[in-house]
Amino acid sequence: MPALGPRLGEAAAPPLDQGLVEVVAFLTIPTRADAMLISTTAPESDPRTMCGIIAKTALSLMDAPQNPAAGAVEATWLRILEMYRYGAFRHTGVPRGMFDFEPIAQQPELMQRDAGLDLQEAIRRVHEAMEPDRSGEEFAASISDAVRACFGSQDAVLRQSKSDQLRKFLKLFQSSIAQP
Amino acid sequence: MLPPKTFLEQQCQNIEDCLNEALRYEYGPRESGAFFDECSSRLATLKATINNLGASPTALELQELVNEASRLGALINRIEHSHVGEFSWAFANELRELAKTLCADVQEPLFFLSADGPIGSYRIHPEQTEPALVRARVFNIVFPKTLRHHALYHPVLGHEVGHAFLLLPSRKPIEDAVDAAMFTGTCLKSTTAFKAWLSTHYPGNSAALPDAILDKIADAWRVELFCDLFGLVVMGPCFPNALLTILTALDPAGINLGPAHPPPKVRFHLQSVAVSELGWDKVPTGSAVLQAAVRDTWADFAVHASGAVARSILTEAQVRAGAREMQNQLSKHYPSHFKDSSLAPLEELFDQLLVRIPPIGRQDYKERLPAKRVDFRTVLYSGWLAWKHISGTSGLDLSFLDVNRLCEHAVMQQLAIAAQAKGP
Repeated sequence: MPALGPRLGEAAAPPLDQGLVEVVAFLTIPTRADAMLISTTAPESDPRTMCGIIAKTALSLMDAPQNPAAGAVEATWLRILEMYRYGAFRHTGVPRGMFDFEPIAQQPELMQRDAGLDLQEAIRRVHEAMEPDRSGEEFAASISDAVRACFGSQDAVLRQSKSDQLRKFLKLFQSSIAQP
Repeated sequence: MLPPKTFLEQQCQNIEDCLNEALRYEYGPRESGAFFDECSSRLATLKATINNLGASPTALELQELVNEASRLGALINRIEHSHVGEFSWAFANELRELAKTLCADVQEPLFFLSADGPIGSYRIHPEQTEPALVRARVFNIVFPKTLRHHALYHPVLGHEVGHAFLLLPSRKPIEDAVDAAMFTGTCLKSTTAFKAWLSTHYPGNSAALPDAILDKIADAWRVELFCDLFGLVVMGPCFPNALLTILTALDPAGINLGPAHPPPKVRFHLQSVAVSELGWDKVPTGSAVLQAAVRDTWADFAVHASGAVARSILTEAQVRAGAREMQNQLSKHYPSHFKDSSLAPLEELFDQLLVRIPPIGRQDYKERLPAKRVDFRTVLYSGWLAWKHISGTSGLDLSFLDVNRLCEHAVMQQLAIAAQAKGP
């Protein structure tokens, strides 16, 4: 039976049973071949920052539903709320082919805490603050209705009736996501 | 120097130029307008977002938007470089129709196909898993450039559609149900048990990995096994031999593992048992030649699924429970999975292949009856069975590539039949 190292780690790596400190160092320090002044790929996104931007954009476009960006804002919030409803926030890192056998050193997300959990928690705090008696499913459905009314509807009366609820949600979310 | 925000604004202009340039190319049978609209919408959203940043955006915000701009540029680049003719477009079209149903989202998702790289390049580039300002999700299905006419291998993309499926939050209950049926009590559900499994089967150096990493590895393996089972239930009995051939080519021993993937033998064991549970390892009727091809195909497959490692993670009962649950869940919610009734014309297709006719099923052109459509997955399964017969003692002079090409033509013919059925 082959040892685990050659696949889970790297071929030239020291054996992993030399202690946790060495293991973590081996997994995180780039080799000379990896060390580059400029990365050839964009750094990974931080979903907390991105969601803060998404909330800011949504707030600014609430009074401009004809803006060409409104469709993307609507679809994005409906997805985020669906993730909250199903507890499906998760970060799976860069897309991989089904036949990749990359070592851990090339999979930095294995070393990181899943930032998607922070989003779940941020919305849960807003949920508690706004409508604590409703279930997660009901809360997500209620805010989704407001999102559709404010960004996807031509009905000005409907939009007006939902805008206060959505504005409150977005502002609370902005401050909630900013919490460490 | 150019301030980052100004640079970003210039990047938007560059992307707009690229987008307009890309329109000169035809990169798919349809939908080029939909891609242009989606990319234009993303660009407009990016511009609006930059405008909303105010006078003093934070470094993190700027970084995030530079990333967004990079991703949009990369997406346009990939679309621009995907050309019809570099892959089996008939198969791609069928797969896209399947995937559209399975991956329906708040907006209809867009799929485009491209060819790239060697044998291991089968993949689907999903949209990033984190939230991003996008209207419709875009999925890029990638075929290996070197295997463009090997239609019999393409069913492995069913596994990749599984990954796209799992990205959608509303699929979580299905994932949870299959997970509970198949993985409860396995070493992939317990750090201690996983450590013990590694020590037993891959001794030497695994114990030092931190628990958090081991948990993520176990989680990734569960996802891979879920997607393998998903690929089987969606693509039908043409899936396992495609998976077996490619994984075995890349890892002949079938026992190497990685942080993202369990040992291939574990995956083959899952396929072998699940095929049996779904009843696809036999055909109720048919000639002795067909019966033998079916029997030999699955008997040979079982050989690859044997050994201590193969059964070390999932028991037969767990795989059977998982297969039933997957089929049950997809039947209820996304009934585009492979159905037993699709196997009805199997013998006709098999017989046609053996006499070098594309396996399109019996068509009555003399009577001018409407042509009958055959499921493309059955066409491909008939190809695997025919190859089993041909590569045995049949003495037939047909190569594997010949069988692939005949099947590819048959899948293309199904599109013509569908077009005929729709009428002028």
